[in-house]
Amino acid sequence: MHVDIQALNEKIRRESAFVEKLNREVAKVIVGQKYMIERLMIGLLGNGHVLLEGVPGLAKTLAVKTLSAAIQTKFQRIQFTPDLLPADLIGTLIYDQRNGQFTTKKGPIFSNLILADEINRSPAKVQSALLEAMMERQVTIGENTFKLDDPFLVLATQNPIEQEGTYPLPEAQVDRFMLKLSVGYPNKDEELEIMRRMTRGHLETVRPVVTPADIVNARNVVAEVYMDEKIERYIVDIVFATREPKKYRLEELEDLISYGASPRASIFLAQAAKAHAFLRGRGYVTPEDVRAIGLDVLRHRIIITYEAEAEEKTSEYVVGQVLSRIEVP
Amino acid sequence: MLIQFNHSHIFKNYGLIGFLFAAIPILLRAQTPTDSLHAAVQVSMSATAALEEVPLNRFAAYTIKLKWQGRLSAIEFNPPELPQLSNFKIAGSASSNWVGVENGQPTSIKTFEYSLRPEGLGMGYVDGMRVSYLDKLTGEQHSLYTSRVGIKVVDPVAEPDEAPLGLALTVGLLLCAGLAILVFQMEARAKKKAAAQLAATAVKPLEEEFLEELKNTVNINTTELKEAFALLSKLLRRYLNRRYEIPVQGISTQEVVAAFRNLTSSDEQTTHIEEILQTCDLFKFSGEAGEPARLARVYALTENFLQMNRRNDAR
Repeated sequence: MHVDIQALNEKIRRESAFVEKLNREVAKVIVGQKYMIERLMIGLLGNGHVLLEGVPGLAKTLAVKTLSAAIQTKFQRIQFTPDLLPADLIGTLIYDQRNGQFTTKKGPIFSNLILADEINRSPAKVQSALLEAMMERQVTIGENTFKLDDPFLVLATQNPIEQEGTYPLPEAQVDRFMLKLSVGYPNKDEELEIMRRMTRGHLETVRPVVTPADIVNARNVVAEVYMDEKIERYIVDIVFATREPKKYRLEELEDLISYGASPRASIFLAQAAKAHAFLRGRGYVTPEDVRAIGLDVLRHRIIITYEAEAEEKTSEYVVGQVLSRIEVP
Repeated sequence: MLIQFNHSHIFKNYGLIGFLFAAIPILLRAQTPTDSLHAAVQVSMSATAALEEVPLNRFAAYTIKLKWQGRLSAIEFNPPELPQLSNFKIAGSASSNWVGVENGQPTSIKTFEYSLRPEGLGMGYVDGMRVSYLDKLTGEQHSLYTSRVGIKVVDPVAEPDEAPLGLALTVGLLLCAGLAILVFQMEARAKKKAAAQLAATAVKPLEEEFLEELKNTVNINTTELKEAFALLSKLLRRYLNRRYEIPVQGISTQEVVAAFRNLTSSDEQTTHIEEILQTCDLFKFSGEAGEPARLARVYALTENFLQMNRRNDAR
């Protein structure tokens, strides 16, 4: 198959021009956290939801809010609490006394960007309502089904500490997130800059520089990014190595993995790698794109065994081993 | 063995004396009471263990004795069932016959003996078993049942010819030490031999090897350009792995270049490596048809890089 890569590269350069503007706008408020911002962009371009995990105070919520502010789109922040009900999220039917009929009151989920803050603080029924909407991109209230707007992206945050009184997301539901990011602390210089900015008394105002149409167009171009069969096979090898490590000469991982990654992992890995290539202004995917995004796509899809827990081996360790040992094409 | 006498021959040759001799067995036979009465034979049975306790490393003997008055052939035994055992296993079995006279009566004894091997410490049992026989005089079938016999298995006793543990250990250690010295000496000799062989043969420089491979495997005039770019990239990666120990197998081009940059002070070489690998990646992964001119360039760069390294080594 012959691909005019020059033309595709040119198209990508044109369509990805907004990325630079968006990054500049976000950087007005967020110091550092380039990794997190880039992954949020990948979620946005790859049409996949993102789960952010990190200790409190790492600007997870602020980053999502800033990103939404930079995109001219509808944004809703939902604080998940133990008493939240599915109806608070998706909406409900309200009886109108004047005409004696039920009318639909849509919930905050009818938006483009949703920030589900501390998603693990709400019970399973609320989580299920959100995750169902995430997958099906539609919501049913009473007898009516409503399609959610495009783009529709859920950015959920959760705190890995203070597990008391939380409802950890079941593995099947975590699998629906395209990426799970582990947000780390800023470095010394970044921390200094954060301190200075926050004690100045006012934060810079973020202007909307991107329209939803830009995002939808960019998504179409991301889908056009060329992925060679060698890369496709490389992705499948990575995913299969998590299921059958022995076949890939990773015998030491055999006892550490209870369940390997699902086919959703292959799909999301391919989508995310394409989005990563797009952000690099490239019209084709290289192994570097797959390796760069591999950990964020796979870390929440591998269930480790009790033996692994006892040996303090995490799913990140398993993914790291797989990525470093599977031969790049 | 049955001896038959010819009566007419005896009369003819020996007369009366011969007649008397010939008549004795007939007269004696007529006097045997059991034969004439066809009475049932009384068989008595006993089942015993030789000892009430047996050490774990010894065998227990279990005997079944059947006794009756009369000839041995008066009773025919069916093959006895094997005894049901707990904590024992049958190590061997035997049977024997005894024929004699007790209280003036012909008496027969048949004995079945079993040698039992204990399996563990504690109580062991030989369950009751059935012994069937046929009374040949009456033609009746009878069965007798033994009772359950218990034998206690106790701690093993020391073997009379068992060597002391300390001595065995010392001998074993000495043997191991001797073996280790032997292996060590053989290994040292083999290493010395290999080193001598290595010194004797001239070592081909790594670069020479890869230059030769480059020449043989990558054809710059090929029409299969994508394949040629893939081969060239693979060759260079393998060289970087062998020469600089960069773990190329699981890392991307960017990571290979970063690792190479950390190992070398030559910016020119790093730039060349980056150009070669990135160009190869472009044609390997972009779906674009390769360009012969680009292949010729990366081929030349690779050749130049290998030759430069060979010259540096020569200095």
